[in-house]
Amino acid sequence: MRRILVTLFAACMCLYAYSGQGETMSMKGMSSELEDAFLDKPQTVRSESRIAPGTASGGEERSLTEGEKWQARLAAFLDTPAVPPPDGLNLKLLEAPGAKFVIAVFDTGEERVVHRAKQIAWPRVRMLFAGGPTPFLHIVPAAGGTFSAGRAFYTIMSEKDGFNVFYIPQKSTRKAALGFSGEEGAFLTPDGFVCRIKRHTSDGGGIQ
Amino acid sequence: MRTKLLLQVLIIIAAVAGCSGLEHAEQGPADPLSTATVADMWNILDGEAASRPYSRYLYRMKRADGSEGESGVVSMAQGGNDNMKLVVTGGELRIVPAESFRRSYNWETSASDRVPFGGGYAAGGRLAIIPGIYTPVALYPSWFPSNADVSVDEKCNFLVRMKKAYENETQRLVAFMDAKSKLEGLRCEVLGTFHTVPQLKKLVITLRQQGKYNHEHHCVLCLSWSSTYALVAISREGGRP
Repeated sequence: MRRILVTLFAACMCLYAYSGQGETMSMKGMSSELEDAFLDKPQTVRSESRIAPGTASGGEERSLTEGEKWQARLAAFLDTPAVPPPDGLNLKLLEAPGAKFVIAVFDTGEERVVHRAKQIAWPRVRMLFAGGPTPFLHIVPAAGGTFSAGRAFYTIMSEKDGFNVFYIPQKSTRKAALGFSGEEGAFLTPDGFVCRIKRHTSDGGGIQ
Repeated sequence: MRTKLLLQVLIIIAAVAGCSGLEHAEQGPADPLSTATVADMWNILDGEAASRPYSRYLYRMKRADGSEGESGVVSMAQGGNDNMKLVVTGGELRIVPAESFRRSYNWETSASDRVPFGGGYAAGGRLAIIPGIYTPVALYPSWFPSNADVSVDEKCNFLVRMKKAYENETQRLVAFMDAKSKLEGLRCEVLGTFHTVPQLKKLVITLRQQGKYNHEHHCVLCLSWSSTYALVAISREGGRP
C-alpha cells in the first residue's frame, strides 16, 4: 500500500515539474518569436539575417536551389517556422513519388522527462518550438524506414489506419512499439527529443 | 498510521499543484496578458514603423559576459515595474532603469537609451525591448455592424453571428438583415492566415515586400469562427466608400 502511495506521489511531483518546465519554455519561445518578428537583430548578427532568401550576398538574384525550394514547402507542411534545407538522401526521397513520412526532431535539452519514449499531443507542445532551434529532418519511405533521434534509432512501419514506431530501449533487446492512428503523431524520447512525424502521400514530385 | 496519513496529505497537495501547473502550461502564450489590444493591431497594420506605443513590452537583459539575465513585462498603462520604466518621449520610448537594476548589470545609461515604439535594443545591445503582444484579436473597420461578430470563410464569404439575444425572432431577423446589408457589395481578399501576432507581423512585412499590401482597408477576421485569423483586404464594389 505504502509503495503505491509513494509511486503516486512521485508521479504527481514529476507531472508538476514537467508542466512548470513547459510554461517556462513557452515564455522563452514566445519572447524569441516576438523578437524575431519585431526587431532587427543587433549589428553582430545583422549580416546573416539581412540576406533575403533568394538573394546572394552580393545582392544579385540567384535561383533557389532544390533544397531551398523544399525547405519552404516543408516548413508549410509541418507548420514550423524553420526547417533546414533537405539534402542528400532526404532530398532524393522527397523528389521520389509515393507516400513518405517526414520527421522533424526537436532537441528540448531536457533529459529523463520520461523513462521511455512516450506519445505526446503535438498541438500542446508546438508553441515550445515556435521560436526555438531548427529541427533535424528525416524523410522515411512509408513502406518502412529508420531514423535517429539523439542516441537511439527508431523504425516506422505503416499500418492500415496509422503507423507504428518501434524502438529498442538501451537496457533491453525487446522491441517496443508506439502505435499512432491517423496521419501524424509525436513522441518524446528519454534523452529529450521531440519527434514529430507526419505522413504525406503524393502522386509524384513529392510534397506539393 | 501517521506516516500513511502524512503521505496521503502530501499526495493531495502534489496532485492539486500538478493540476494547476498543467492548467498554466496549457494556457501558454494564449495568456490574456499577452493578448493584443485593438490599438496594437492597428499599429501593426498601419505603417512600417509603429506610430504609437504598444500596450505592453517584454524586456530581456543580458549580463556583460553575454549570459542571460533578467526578463520581464512592462505594461504601458502602469508605466513600468521594479526594474525599469518606459516613458514616451516624442516618437520614442525612453528607458529609465531602476538604480539597483542599472548597477547590477553595469549599465551606463546615456541619452541613446531610447528605442522606437516598435521595440529595439539598448544598453549596447544587451537589453532587448520587444512588443509583448502575442495573441491576436479580431479587427473590424468602424462601419462594420456593431451588433454582430463577423468571420470569413476560405472562399471569402462573410459569416455573421449576432452578439446579443433578442426578445423574439422578428427582432433578431431584422437585426441580422441590417448587419448583412452593411456587408453587401464588399469585395474581400484573404491575404494570408496566422495564429499569432509575430506571424501577422511577418505576413505584413512579406506582403509589403511583394507589393501586395497596398489596399486602403484591411481587417483581421477569424477564419470560419476558428482560432485561425485571416488578414483580409476589403473594398466596395464599384469604388463605393
